[in-house]
Amino acid sequence: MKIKKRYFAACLLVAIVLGWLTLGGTAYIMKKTSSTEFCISCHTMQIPYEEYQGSIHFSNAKGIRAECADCHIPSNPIDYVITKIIASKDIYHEFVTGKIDTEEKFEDHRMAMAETVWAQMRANDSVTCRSCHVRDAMDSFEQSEDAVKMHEFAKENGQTCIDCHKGVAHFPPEAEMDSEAFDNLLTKTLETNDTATSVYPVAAISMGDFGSINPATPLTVIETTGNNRKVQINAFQMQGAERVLYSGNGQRSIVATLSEQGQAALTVGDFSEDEYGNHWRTASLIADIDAQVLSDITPLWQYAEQLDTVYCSGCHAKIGANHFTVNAWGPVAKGMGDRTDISVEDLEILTKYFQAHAKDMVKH
Amino acid sequence: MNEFSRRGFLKSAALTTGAAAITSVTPLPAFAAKGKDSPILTAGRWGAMQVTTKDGRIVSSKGALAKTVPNSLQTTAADQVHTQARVKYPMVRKGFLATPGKPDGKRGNDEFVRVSWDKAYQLIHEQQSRIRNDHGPEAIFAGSYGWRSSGVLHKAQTLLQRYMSMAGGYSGHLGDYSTGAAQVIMPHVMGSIEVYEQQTTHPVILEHSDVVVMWGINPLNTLKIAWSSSDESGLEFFHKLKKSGKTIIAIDPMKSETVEFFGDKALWVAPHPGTDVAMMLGIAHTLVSKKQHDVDFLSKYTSGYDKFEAYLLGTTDGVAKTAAWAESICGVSVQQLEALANIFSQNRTMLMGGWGMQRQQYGEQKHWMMATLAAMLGQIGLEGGGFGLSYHYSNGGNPTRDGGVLSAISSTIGGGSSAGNDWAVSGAVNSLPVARIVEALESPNKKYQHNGHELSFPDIKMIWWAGGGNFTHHQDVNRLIKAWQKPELVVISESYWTAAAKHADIVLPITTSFERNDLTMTGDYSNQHLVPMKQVVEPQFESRNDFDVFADMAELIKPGGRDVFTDGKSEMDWLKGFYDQAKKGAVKARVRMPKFGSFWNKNELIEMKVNKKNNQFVRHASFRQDPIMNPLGTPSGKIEIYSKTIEGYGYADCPAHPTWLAPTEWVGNAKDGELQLMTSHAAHRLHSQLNYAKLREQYAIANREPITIHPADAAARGIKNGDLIRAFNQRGEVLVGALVANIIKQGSVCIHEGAWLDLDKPLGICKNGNPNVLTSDIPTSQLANGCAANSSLVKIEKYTGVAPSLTAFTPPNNA
Repeated sequence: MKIKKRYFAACLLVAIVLGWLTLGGTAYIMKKTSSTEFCISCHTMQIPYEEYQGSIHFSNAKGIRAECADCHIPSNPIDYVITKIIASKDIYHEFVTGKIDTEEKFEDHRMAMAETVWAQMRANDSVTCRSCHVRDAMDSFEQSEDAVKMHEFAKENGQTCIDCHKGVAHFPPEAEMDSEAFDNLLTKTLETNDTATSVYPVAAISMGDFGSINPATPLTVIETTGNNRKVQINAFQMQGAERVLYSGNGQRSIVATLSEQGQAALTVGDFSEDEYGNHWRTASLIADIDAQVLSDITPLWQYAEQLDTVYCSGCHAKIGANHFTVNAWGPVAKGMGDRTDISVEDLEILTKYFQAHAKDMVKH
Repeated sequence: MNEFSRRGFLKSAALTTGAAAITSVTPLPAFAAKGKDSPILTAGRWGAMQVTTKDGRIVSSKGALAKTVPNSLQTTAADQVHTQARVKYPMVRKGFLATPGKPDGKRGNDEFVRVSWDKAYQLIHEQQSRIRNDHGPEAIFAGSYGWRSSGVLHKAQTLLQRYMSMAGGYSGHLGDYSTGAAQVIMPHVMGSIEVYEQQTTHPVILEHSDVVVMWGINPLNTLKIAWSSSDESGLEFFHKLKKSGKTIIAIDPMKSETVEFFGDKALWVAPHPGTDVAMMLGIAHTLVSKKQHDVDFLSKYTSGYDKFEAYLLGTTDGVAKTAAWAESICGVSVQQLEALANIFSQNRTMLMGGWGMQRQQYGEQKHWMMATLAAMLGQIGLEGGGFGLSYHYSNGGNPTRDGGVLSAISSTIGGGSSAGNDWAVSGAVNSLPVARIVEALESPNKKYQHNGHELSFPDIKMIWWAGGGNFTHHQDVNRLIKAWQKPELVVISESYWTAAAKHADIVLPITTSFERNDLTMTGDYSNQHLVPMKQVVEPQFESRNDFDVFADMAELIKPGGRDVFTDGKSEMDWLKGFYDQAKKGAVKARVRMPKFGSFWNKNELIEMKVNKKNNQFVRHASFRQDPIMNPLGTPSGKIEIYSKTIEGYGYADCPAHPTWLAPTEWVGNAKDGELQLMTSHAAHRLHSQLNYAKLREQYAIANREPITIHPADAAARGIKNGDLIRAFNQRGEVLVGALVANIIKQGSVCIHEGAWLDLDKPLGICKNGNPNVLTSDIPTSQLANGCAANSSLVKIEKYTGVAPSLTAFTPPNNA
């Protein structure tokens, strides 16, 4: 059985060599296909690569670099293999579908891609972040006060790194709400019937020669003929700003903007001075409108809450409307809104929502 | 480089072994190692430039952006650094050094002595402390005005004011020489300054305008430069406009470089200089008489048209401002005026207004009348219609890009005591209209009117000018020279021996932008590129950066002052800060900016992203769409053709609606062979910058600044092309070279502004032809107090004496 033994030995040797080649080869492939050079060798990876080059994860004072794999491939063996298998779809899209092969296409899919990665990181408790950033190693005295506060908050509320630290190595996607939600809102206005006694515009509407009314302004209906309504606005005016009507005494939430004719048609009270030396008076106006309006404001506020979710909490956790006063919400919403892609019209609705539920408007 | 890629991997058949050779390479972007003398990217007002050096000297420079229309100014880098006119060392006037702080009337007529930097600092610090102590901050004029150089850190005037605010305050300036009248009147009329604001964009004009009127603009010259750095889109636009087949009308007393550029594609209409209001009134009257004015627009969007119309038709003053009346003043025929009224009202028409017309006595009326005319045409806020006052400046109309925008160093230190410092920071304690500086020197504490306020001039005892050339940009230079003797100390921070430097007590040698590191955006409206301004050569001789000079001076105020001035940051720290700030904005626009270090090493510009909405911007469209929701910033919220505010001021020289007022000096009252002088923007200079450059050989005549003369005016005086000419009036005289050509309205001459003063003391004549020796130093009106350089009459004759040699660019002895 010498031959057999030899044959067996030879087979064994071949098997060992094959096994070594296969496993070793596989390991080699796995390692090589996790290298940054490999990742960016695809045309479509140039965009995220250049974004990453502008980030602190690419270069910094300390000379430490997080490579693609450090963030995108978990090191635990099972997650590692799963990630590698899922990533093979990228190859398919790179060479077969060309799904993101232009800047525009890339931008169109940025949100979906980001959400995939965020979901993955939420599921594994940001394990790749934590391979470098260890909570124990964080010296709270070297962090800003805000950072300490937010980290405490995150810990207590079961949040993970990626819940806040979005867009640290690549540009964050920009939220945009689809127009369907607003179309639904407009559909709701069709349900408003002739018997409605108070109505609310969902967008800025015209009062003919008198000027225009801002969305969400409560209007008392005096007379209805089909779509045409005679309505009354009860509001306030501040001396020096007679072109606009405000929601309350000392509350600068604009409910209407007036032409000269509009100003002339007002019924006004006497001015009285507030503690800041501004003079306010009541002002009411009866005007004709022909726009579609809501009889119940709830759908408008629901729409505003959607805006809040899409545009505000895309970057930070939601801030309750009762956090600021009516007067503070105007500039706060404007300042923050400028940093998003929210339209002027939507920002106005959102601002009105915050103001209607502001600290000085609701009791808790 | 790891030779491994996904693409190569898949192409390879060796999937099972994995270890097979894989060869395809996609290299990581590599930073090309720059050779020692390879071109360096930097920028100037004239755009991004590639500068080539050899052995530490600049040998050549050229524009870094692709272009159709060449820009001569981009070739001047070597001259800027290596001209003989450079200030090499700190220099002090001999008489001043003998008795510091005691004016001896010898400024401009004295020798200079070389001193050390420390000595210069000490002299300035001692005198300034004394003056500040005795007379307060108002006695120190740091309103220092001028065009300096590009860059967001090395901003001479800002740095001077930053230092002066740490020292306890100063007297500053209001407005500028360019648009002194317009920027004050337009807020009363349109609610915004208009002259430095984005215009209806180039793509909109090209798509929608039928008629483009270039009213007193010469973009071929003025678009070579921009306030930050030129994005060079403007000349490309005018190139396209020329080929567009649209009706192009150039209204200009001169057949300018722009009119020549358009050739037979444009109609040239030449009024007498200074008569634009009369000409526009003639057109306006024609519109009314033919019922071609837009009554609906006037009623909905304007205020006070009825009062203006009463004046137009002559019901208030008995003079109907008909086309015939206008012809008698502006020299454009009734037929032409009627044709213009017809063309303007029957087509989508854009009126592009220049600024020279408002640098005249009663300059406020010009753009007011243009806005009124545009309102009568009813096209303001429509695509390609209305008027625009910045198409010839800084590439106005190039759509605003999305991306990162650089911030800049500020004229005050941050924070005050809350920022942990105990500096009593104070800014300008008294600001005077910039062009009234000589009157202020002559009449300290005199009360005067300005835009409805009564102000009073400071009593100026000290002047520090950094980054400006007031002996070329100010009017009536002989009057300036006299007034200039009054202060007890005059300090000039300069790269060159300008006339201002030659009339100083202390001259400090400052680096050019090629000798320091900085950053700039291109495009004041577009923010199109972010450009590294990388140092090209070592600082020349003993020159220092303004930043370092004022940091040194701040340390003298009080120990620790340097760190407060610099915020503890070096030049590169500041630049990185500005860049990082811009980078934040870039993320939103999806502009991928690398980390600062890699950007700086790469030495490449970054182009910002096109914004499709901005491409379609139409000025005043939102006002037109909804004048209630989007009112103008005027008291009525509308276009104020009649201003109750201005009526309330009661100024005889600025009535409450656009009015034709005959200037004190103009072609209409010229006598004894007087001609109207225009001082337009030159083709091969940025105002007085670059006058010393080799480019001068391309335009100088008889080695002097040229004077453009109509052939008939030349013939009447026996003047031939190329003759040396003496131009003179009661204010002074200059030597100029005759350019006799049929390219100027008869009765007028033009000497482009910006020739350096070069006074021959015995003869009292400027040998280089600075036209401001001849211009009158009067305000446009009490409203704006703008400069009125274009309201002067002069005489000319052939110069028969021995031609004195030119010394404009020669440093003083020992310097």
